[in-house]
Amino acid sequence: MPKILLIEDNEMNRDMLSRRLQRKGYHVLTAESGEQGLSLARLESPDLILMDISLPEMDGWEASRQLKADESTRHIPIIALTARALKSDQAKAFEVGCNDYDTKPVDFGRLMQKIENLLVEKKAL
Amino acid sequence: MSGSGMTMNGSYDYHLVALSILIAVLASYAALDLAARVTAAQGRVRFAWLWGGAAAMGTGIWSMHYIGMLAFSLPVPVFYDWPTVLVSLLAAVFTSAIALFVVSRQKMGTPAAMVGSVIMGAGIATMHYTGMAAMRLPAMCQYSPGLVALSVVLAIVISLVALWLTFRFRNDVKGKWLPKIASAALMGAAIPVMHYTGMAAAGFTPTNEAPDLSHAVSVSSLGITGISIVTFMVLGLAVITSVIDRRFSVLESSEERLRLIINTALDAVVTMNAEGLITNWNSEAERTFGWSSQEALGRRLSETIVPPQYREDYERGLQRFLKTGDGMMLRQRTEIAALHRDGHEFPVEVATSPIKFGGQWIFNSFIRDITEHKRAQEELLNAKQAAEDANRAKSAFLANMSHELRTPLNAIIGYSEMLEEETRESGEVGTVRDLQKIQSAGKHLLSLINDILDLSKIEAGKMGLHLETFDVPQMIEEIVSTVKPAVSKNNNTIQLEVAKNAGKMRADLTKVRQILLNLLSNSCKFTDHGIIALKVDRITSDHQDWVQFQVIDTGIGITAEHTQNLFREFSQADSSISRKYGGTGLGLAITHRFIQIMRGRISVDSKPGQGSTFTVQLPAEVALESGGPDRSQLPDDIPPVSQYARQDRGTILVIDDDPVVRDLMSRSLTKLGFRTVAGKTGAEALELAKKVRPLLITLDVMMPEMNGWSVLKQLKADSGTAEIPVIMITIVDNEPMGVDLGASGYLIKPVDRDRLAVLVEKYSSHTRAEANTTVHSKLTVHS
Repeated sequence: MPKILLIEDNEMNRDMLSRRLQRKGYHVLTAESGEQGLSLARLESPDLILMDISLPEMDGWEASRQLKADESTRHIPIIALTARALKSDQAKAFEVGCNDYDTKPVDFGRLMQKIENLLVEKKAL
Repeated sequence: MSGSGMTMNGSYDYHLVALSILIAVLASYAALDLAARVTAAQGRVRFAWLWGGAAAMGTGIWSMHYIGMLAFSLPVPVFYDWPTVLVSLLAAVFTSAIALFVVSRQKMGTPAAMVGSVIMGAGIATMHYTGMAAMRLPAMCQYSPGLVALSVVLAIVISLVALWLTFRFRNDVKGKWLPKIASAALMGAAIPVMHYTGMAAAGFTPTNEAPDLSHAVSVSSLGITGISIVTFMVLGLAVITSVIDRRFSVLESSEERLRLIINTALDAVVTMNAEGLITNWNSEAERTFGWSSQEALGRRLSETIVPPQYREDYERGLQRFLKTGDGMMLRQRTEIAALHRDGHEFPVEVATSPIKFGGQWIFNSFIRDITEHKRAQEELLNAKQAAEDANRAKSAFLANMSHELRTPLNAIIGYSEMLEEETRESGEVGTVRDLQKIQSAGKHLLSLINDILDLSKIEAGKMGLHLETFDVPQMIEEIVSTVKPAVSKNNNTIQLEVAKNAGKMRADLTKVRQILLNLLSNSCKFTDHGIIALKVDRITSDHQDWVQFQVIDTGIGITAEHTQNLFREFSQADSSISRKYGGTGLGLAITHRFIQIMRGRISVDSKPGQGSTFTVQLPAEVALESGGPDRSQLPDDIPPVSQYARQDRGTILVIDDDPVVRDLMSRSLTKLGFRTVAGKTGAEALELAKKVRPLLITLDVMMPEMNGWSVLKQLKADSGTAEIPVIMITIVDNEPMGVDLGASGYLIKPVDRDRLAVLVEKYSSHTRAEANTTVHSKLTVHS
């Protein structure tokens, strides 16, 4: 059962997303902040990370950078969840090392597709 | 009268006597006039006037004497020894010179007047008796001592009176001619008095000795010569004087005009000499600084209007200018602090020009009190600040509102979706339907909020354009798939007609999508069992390229009346429409505004019952509003990879210790048409760089032993490799360091292929141009 780490500070979003993912058969870990997300990632080594960008204190960009800089977590695919759909945000996501991005409010079906793609890729590697 | 034998009796021709007096008067007038000129003149001009005047006056006195002699006839012929005559003339001129000198000085005190008149009197007497001594006749001349003494005394007294009169009236150059004529007359009459007294003092006794006539001339010729000279002189003087007078008056009137201009100027006009003293101070200066011009003239400028703390600098500046011709505050407007007489400082605007005049520097300043101006400026700045703050507050508000409103809505929509899924599984259909209602209400509310926020942004002028170049047919495809559910809802069918040359356009993609979705969803809403056609064309109009979108439906149409209000907020064609068809009435308003912002056009053609056609034309290259910021932050004209797949564009050196990365990079670069050479370590990098001389190097930072920064340093230090552009590839963001050390680009892992392509493109084209290979001539150059 693939493990997904969800880093999202908004309680309702966290709740909705984690429950829906669980119903799809994923084991879901949640973190409320960038810091928490980093330590959880290092500890649990999830198969995929869903990273909300607008986190308090350390934002999603910074957290992503650090995850990709760390040997132990560098290999974990990250999907950035951003409220804006500007091309510049897309570019920034890739720049900091994210493997994909999606916009909020989340279109669950679309997100599922992206998650599945990345997990398949990872397995292939 | 005494002497041996009979004394001769002389007789006077009274006409000639009168003439002699007239000449004396004329000469006196001239003398008075000249005295004024001499006083007014300076330097060499003064010298000229003095001696010219002396010549005129001296000649006048001398002529008078000889006309007097002409008037006097003796029974014997009288001749005059002309050398002696000349000496007498010189005596007259010299005396006049002294007299003019005395009267033209600034002050004439009693001692000076006394001395002057003694000298002048003696001079006149000398002239007279020398003149007498020039006589050549067969007779003896004897003088009555008493009368001689009287004549000398008279000469002195007359001189004193003459000097005093001349000094008194010398400044009356213009006007007031009566006093001048009167004093001239007085003086003119006095000289003959002396002369004829002298004549009375002389007695002639005939002798038999023949006179020495070796240099003799007759009186008449002397007389005529004398008259001519005097006449010419006086006339000449009159002419010169009037000419000069006129020039003076013109000069004076223009001087007067300039003085008026300066005194009525609304700026303070202050002139300073090279010593730093005030030489000019106009009325406005009096008002501005509180010093009257009498008080200000002659004061040190810096001590008068420069605040104490700046005086030293000011003086130094003046000295520097005088020495080097360099002046910071000169020949430009400066704003500085000035000092008022009452001690308070105030801001002024100063424009100072240095002028070289008569070999000396003078400094002319126009000074304006700008206290009011500064105050107004400050108020403006404050108002600007306040406006900017308000503006920022507005932006923050909109951003906040956007977030605040959407967050709970997302929860509503999200949870209802989730519950719907869960309930569906449990089979409770009724509950599912309820949940769907919640969901659709939530979605509706969300679209309302989005619309309102959009409009607010537009109203606040905060709706910017995010321009990007995109493929039109591709966008159309996405849109069509998005509206499919809406189309089928009312059993409509959609038809597409996209022109082959639709190509690309540069615009705000989000807005274009929103416009088309709005029009299409409207058509879907108001059409039942009909056709909705979307046509896309490229047209040229007004010398510009446009992309035209047409949404044509066979729906209920719009009446002519309603088309007028179509694009206005909140005005749906009919109030019943929102109940029947839903919608907010904002969509078209937003569409309209978006089109406006992009400088496009929209038109509608409709017949009730037959359907509507909405035509939107947008520039193929949307320009930003003037002064608007370009929000697109990435270069988006990236050439598609396939274009260059099979060309050899040069060799790129890829350095990374990770074999996976090396492999991926090489593959990406090969796809772009380059040959690649790979290296694992810093040492290999340096070696390969020198050997292969690649077009470009991609360099990983985190490598064991020698890290990327050291490699970069060494590459740039070696002339063989310094020119090769280096792109640093790393997971750590340290761009400034890269720039410092000479890196040409910077990428963060994992590397985005597109970004890599852009950078590689950019830096390889430079080297390509220099390398001048045949390959690049076939490729297009990108800006």
